[in-house]
Amino acid sequence: MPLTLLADAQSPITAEATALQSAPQYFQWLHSWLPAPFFHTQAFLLFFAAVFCLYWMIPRRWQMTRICVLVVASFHFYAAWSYELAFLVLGTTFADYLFGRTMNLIEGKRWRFAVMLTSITMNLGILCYFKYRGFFLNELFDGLTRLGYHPGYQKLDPLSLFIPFGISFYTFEAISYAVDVYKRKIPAEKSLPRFLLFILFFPHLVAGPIVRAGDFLRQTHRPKRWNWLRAQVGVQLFLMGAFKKMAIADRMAQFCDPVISNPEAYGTGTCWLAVLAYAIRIYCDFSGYSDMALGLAHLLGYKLTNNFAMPYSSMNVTEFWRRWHISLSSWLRDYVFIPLGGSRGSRLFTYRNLMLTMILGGLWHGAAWGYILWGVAHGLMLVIHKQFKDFCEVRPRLDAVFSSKVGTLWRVSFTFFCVSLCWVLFQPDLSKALQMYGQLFSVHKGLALPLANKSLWVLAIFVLFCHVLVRSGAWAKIYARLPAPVLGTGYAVCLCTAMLLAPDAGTTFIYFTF
Amino acid sequence: MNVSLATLRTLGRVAIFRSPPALNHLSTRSHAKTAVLAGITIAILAHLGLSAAAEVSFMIRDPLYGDLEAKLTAVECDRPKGTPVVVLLGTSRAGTGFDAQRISGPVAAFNFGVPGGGPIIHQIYLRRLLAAGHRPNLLLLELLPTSVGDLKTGPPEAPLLNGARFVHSEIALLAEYGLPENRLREQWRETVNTPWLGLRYQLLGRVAPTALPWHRRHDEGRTSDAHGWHRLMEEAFNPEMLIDGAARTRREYADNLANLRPGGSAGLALRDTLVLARDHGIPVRLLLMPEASWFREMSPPEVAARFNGWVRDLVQEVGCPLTDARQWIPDSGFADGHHLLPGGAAAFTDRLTNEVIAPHLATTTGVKP
Repeated sequence: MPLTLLADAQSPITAEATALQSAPQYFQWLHSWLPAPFFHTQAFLLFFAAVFCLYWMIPRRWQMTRICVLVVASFHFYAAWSYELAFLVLGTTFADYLFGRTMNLIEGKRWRFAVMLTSITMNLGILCYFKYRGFFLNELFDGLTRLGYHPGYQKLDPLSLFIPFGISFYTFEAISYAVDVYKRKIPAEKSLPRFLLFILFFPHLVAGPIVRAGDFLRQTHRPKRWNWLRAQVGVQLFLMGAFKKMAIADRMAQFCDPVISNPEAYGTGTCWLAVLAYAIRIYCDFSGYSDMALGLAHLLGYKLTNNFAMPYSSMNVTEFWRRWHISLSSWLRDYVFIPLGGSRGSRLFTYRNLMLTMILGGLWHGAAWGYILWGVAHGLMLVIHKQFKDFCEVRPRLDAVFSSKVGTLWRVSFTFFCVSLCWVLFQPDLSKALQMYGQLFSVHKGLALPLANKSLWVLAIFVLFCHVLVRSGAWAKIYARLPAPVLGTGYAVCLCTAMLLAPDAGTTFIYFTF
Repeated sequence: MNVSLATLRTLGRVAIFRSPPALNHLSTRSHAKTAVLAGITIAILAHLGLSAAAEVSFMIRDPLYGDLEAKLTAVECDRPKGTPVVVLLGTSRAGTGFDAQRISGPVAAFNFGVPGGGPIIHQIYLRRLLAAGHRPNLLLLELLPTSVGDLKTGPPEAPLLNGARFVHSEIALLAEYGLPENRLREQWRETVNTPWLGLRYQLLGRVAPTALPWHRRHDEGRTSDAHGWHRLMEEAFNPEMLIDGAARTRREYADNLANLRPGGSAGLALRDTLVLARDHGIPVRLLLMPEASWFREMSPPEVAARFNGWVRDLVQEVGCPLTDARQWIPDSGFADGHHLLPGGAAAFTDRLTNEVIAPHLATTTGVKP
């Protein structure tokens, strides 16, 4: 049966094809059914429909059977892309389960600490091997070569490295579990299927949100009952996510991708428009994926952490990080910033912790200088904001100006401007980012955008309008008064419009590669 | 009736300014159920409706044809009773080269030039025109030499044809001429299963064409004049662009023209189209559109002789006349060696009218354009 895509999403993984040729026939067949792990493809929707029907057909009292169905489905979801890595994830999850159980049995803090350290080392080791090996070995190669030594190995081609998708997400989940069990914040999970579901649950497996064991495992113990309210929330979130991805993010990619990959060919004005398009694209791409993940989880009776809260309406960069990728920023706060000492020490000490946390956050996104500098830039902005906040606190007039409506508008605009400028760094190729800055800050003539600017502005204004509608509270009021058939019509319109606006060829989700 | 201002104000407040009370439906499961089920039902209906509409209306499925056909119908309706109709069914060469509105006198001429066209799409379009009741008094059918090449990979126009443009019954016919049936059926099925996705270029091209790249807009039928002519903007072709255009043409055609072997399924499609017109009592004439001298020289003499011989045999077999206009226009009349600039189009149209259309109509209908 031919499975056309709901959107013509393209798989980013080039090494995938060669790996599949040697796969057992079952996994090759599985791959032919589910070629890409993207939620907005027809193949995935058929897969989900099958899992959904099977899951809800199982009687409620057979909760463990339902969990097993989800574990098997999640394994197949990953194995359709790479069966070897699916077994690797399964193996490490099993090891994490054993480490957790061991920590529960051990009373001595020192031994518990050793087990936790082993768990973290194993998870970080795998992450480093797959994700950071190429970067660090190549940097070492360059460094030694510059010093006149021959490193004794050849440079690795970053494109040929096979990075398991979602590795950064489930590694952080496993680490948070080990730390929480060590600190006795949560008891170690006794049931293996429940623990496997916590890590492997397919809606959050590949691009988050990063769930906490305490939040998720509690839900696996509650028998699920079909709930129309929850189903409505799930459908709404899924449709909203699909719309953001197909109608906005993929369309924006048509504007920004050609410019970002070759900035020197384009004029200054075009480059600024591309920065705007890239900012909108990243937001709609990732929050669209998160919304779809949340929606799918709701349809199976689970609630995942909300990952975005209108980040571009933030009034400062500190607020931005409370609204952007919430599951990551709260993870970094709880497991990096606070253990480093947080803001308990001197001002300088706090700033150091902030910088270290943000650099780690940048490195988490990818093994490239662009991501690291992006983390540095955000760390610096956070430091500057803290300084400026202290400066304003002792100057009530200045504070009042910034708190006024005009001041608030200025702060939101300025925060958006700074965040958007930093997005230029958010790519593996630093030289392209520097070229882009060169184009942005010196007047150049060059090519125009590949499509008419009008459609970019229409979409940008639409995104702005949605932000205003939600932040002003108007949407909540309107929504509460909408009759059911009108809401239903809205869902159908959302679906049809998302399909209608899907561009020529869809793009992958940016965060799949992290 | 006396209605006080105060009453009007009260009514206004109630009707306009006062929102209805909140349904508090967040706690109402039946409300959620109705919303979800209504959404699913409406989405299914929207998909079924668009699928069905696309099967009956070419305005949705193939806007290029639909828009041109609508213009042709308008031209036919506007003409005085008894005025003969002349249609040129061709490629983008015909589209830019035949200024049908220029023909004065009691004749309704229409340019049905289809970018990327060839004998197979021409036959499909002729069948659609016949089914829609169009019976021109003269059908000029353009023959683009490279479109009848007998290639190992199938008819030359195969890569340009997307199954989304055709109705179900047409795909079997396309397959008969060697087009990849599986690909076409898959593309067609997408327009039936998920029509809002499969037909998005057609739909979006109509409401917001600038949101699409030019080759996805399906708007060639709308951007022509009322008689189907695509006027090339002369001022847009400065000497640099003319050089670029010529280079592009050479890249696109040099290999094909150097090795052209007419025939195969594309040749068969052309023959069948001529026979189809003849069988419906429509006088048909094969037309070779003007080409620049350097364009013609891309065909080696033996290839040109082979092509000319094949055409001669074809017209003899079918019994239709041939108009060879390849040398009618000087090189300065072209934008890129085979698409005519407005000046060239005017010269070509006048000569076609004088030498082909007028004599034919004078003998068959007694009308002199």
